[in-house]
Amino acid sequence: MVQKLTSTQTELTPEQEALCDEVVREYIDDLPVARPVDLTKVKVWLDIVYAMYGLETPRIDVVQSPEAACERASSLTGQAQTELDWVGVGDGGWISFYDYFERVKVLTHDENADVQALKDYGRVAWDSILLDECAIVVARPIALKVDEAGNLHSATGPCIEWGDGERDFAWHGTWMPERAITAPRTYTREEYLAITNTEERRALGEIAGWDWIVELLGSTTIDTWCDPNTGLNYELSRCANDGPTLLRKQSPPLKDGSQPWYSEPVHENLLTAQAARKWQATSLSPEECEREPALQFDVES
Amino acid sequence: MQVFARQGDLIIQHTTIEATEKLTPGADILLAGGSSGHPHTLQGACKYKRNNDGSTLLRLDATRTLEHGRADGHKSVMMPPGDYEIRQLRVRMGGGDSNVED
Repeated sequence: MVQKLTSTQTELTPEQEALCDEVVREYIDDLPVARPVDLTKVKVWLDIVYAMYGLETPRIDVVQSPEAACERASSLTGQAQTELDWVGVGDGGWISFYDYFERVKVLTHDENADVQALKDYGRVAWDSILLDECAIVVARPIALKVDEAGNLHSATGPCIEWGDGERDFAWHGTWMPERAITAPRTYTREEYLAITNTEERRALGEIAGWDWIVELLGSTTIDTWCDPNTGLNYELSRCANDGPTLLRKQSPPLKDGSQPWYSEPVHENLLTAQAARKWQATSLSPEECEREPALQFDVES
Repeated sequence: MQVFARQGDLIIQHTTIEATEKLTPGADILLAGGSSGHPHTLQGACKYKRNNDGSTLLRLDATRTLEHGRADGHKSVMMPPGDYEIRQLRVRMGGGDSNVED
């Protein structure tokens, strides 16, 4: 039995610390579990939500994927709907927070009742689009894969498979196009350079291999630099055929200790990796950064 | 050149906010990463103004924590009271400069 958390405590007891980990694991382990929609539990939550707006819960339509929910909402409202309400499984982060405080008796069950209703909803449904005349409820997927940290992830196929055949792909929590996961080395040079999202570019580098990316781009390293204050490495390269100039750089250690590499296009007039690092962080010209490339952060994370 | 902090793509720089700037009170404001599901969020109360270039002016009356909303993401940054300018790293795309997209 975990001891009650009191207002005089300045640190958690070992048991209370262990319970934090236990609650996190419980929520992450529940993510891949497929369950049919339980309309009784769904209605408990919807009654709470609609009552907040002084409304009765309308008819409930169950659909099998977020795409199907958006299509149904667009059809009912006559307006393009592209987003869910983001209420359901995605709230696990903060629901688990309140759940923990009930377990250490800071909150009573009654005080936490609405949050528990949302937790129960998320166990039997994915999310919703709530309209005045219709509550569109998305069923949980039939398959879902995560990495050890709980990020959506599959290195070989979809990370989510929905009941109507829709599929989603992700690499350690970064949404990816299907081809980046299933056939990463079919990307052309132009397709790679057209990627604007730095996390997607980084993930594709990890999936296809950075050496393969270098070969694809025909890039040549023109300068490298290691920051003596942080030990972080930087590499400036020029792509063949008047292609872009890229700064490949090492992340500071993340919370799990990993240090992923990122590759970002920088100004073509830059000549050194150190100056390119400064150019990214300031509004100075390439020439100004080359003249005085020193830049130090008090904190770099 | 000395700059206060970097958290991933975000640069956090001390500044002095002019008295003419209209700051809005807020709490737990999102500074970047909302669309990717990996938000950089300033925990607690602040006053702020979002600029057209994507940067944010920030005034803190007490120490606040900048958190990255991902279990294995960037470590938190403690920000003492003061004025700050927050902006994203710059990249070169299509012959022009823009903010890093994540």
